[in-house]
Amino acid sequence: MQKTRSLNEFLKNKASVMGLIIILLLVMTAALADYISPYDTDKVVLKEKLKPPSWQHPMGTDQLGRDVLSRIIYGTRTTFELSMLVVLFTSAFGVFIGIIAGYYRGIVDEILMRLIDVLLAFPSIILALVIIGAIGPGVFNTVLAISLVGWLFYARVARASTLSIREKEYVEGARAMGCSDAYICFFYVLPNCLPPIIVLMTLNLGSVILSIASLGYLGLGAQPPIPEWGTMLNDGKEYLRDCPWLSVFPGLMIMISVLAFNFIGDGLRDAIDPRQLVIK
Amino acid sequence: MSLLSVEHLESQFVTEDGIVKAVDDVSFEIANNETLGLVGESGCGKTVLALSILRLLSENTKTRGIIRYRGRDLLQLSEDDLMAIRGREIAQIFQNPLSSLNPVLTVGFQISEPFMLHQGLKRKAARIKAVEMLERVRIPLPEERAREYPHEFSGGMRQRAMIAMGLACKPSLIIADEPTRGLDVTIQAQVVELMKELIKESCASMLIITHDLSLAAELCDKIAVMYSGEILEYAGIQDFFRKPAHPYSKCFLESLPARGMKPIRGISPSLIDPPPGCRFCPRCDHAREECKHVHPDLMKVKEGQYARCHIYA
Repeated sequence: MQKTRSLNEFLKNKASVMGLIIILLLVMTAALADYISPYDTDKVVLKEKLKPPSWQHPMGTDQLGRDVLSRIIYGTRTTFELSMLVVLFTSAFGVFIGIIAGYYRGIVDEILMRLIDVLLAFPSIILALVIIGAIGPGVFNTVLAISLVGWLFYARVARASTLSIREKEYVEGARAMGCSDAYICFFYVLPNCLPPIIVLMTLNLGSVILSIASLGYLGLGAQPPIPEWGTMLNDGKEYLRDCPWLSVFPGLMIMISVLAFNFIGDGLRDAIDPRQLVIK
Repeated sequence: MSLLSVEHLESQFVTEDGIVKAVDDVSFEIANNETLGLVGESGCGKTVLALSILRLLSENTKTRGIIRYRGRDLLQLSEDDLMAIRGREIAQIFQNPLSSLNPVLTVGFQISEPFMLHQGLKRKAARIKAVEMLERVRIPLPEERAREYPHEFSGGMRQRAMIAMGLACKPSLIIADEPTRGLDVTIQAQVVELMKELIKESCASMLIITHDLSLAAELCDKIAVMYSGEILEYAGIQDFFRKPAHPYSKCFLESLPARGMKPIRGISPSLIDPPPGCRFCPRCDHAREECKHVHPDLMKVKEGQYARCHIYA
């Protein structure tokens, strides 16, 4: 009942459905990149460099004569892989920390939350820059840097939900039944604090894509020749005046995917209304 | 020997306004196969008393005294030892069936939990047991119902599911806190009927906490009247209803709809700063001068009946 109602609510929201369709298309693009990409991403054809969009190269070619469309398609794969990885990492770790802080409260809670406050005091992209500056650029390091600051929000949301859930009578009931703390956290607290976390994950995917692209643009993310939207933007900026297609298409892709995730997130939030589910 | 004996139990919370003595020097015993009803008005400390027994109160509560269960003091046990007793030897059925089940797990799963936790059964075996339990508490189509979530159950069914969970491991003592709260009268009657049968079948002792005297009359062998954190009267059920000893018990009985629905004047005293003498004194029609200053002890009225009142000195 609850499930179908939420689903209907979600489907009624046109923007979210559109977002969902776009994301599904992008995911398919990423998955089928090997089959649909017209050219090799690394094939340098200097004779063909900086060609405007044409039937042969629908999005033109870059300064090395590589097909932009193919690079965009493979860039989708890079971006999605990285952002999913970051979101899975951060949500798992953040929720774990949040539940521990909320469940045990007291000194544990105090230490963890103050640590989070300290980390939140830095603008996240600056902190990521510092971390990358320390450990060097690269795909894996990008994931690490964004993850290190990304779990904070999950921890806060999970802690807030846990605080209200741990006072519920069914948790008291579980304790009266002889359940251990670990069991209660896993079977009682975790599933009950998931709805807001899921909404946060979808909304977060958008901003993580943006962070990855930003780091790429600054030359600290995926290193050439790995195709990545942010890196492509950076490559294109020198030719912005004469060859705008180098920057416009990756930029559009970033915008579309971030928007799509935000639409889905908004729709999910309205549909499952975490407040209603958490405080029942 | 009694199954559970509570001696001089005190539970206090520290608040900004002072120390709340929710349970103040309470002693009682429950023998094997006996059902004790703990009655009293809202806010007199009944629920805190129930939660103290299994040490389910939050950390800022101070509990003192002795709670002897089969010779072991529950207040001295380690958390691990206590975990083995909770649910297996002493089960608690909570008030408010509407919020005492986990909304995201199926009812079947929740009833199979005690089997997995305490009898080491695997999920499938526990599930079969859970369906049996649902059948025992008269839930139709238990097989299908076990797969449903709490929100798909009606209030009465949820309470029966709670009872099934409580009885799962055949505990020797069941603590039922307001087992009929939030249910309408017809469903209450069904639940009471069911509990009566199950008590008979399982030979368990029971502590029933309620403000509903008619429920106590149906189910209990003995009754303890609680007021402002202490026990004012302790009596067999027959004696209590025929001839209540304490003035408060008399007023309490007269406040029943069937007996005139006469309200008790005044309000119950603060648990932070109770009256120095008898706690019921400000509301009592029989109050004497000594009632205002001297705190009465629990005095013997006759065999098996005790009252905390200067009349019986």
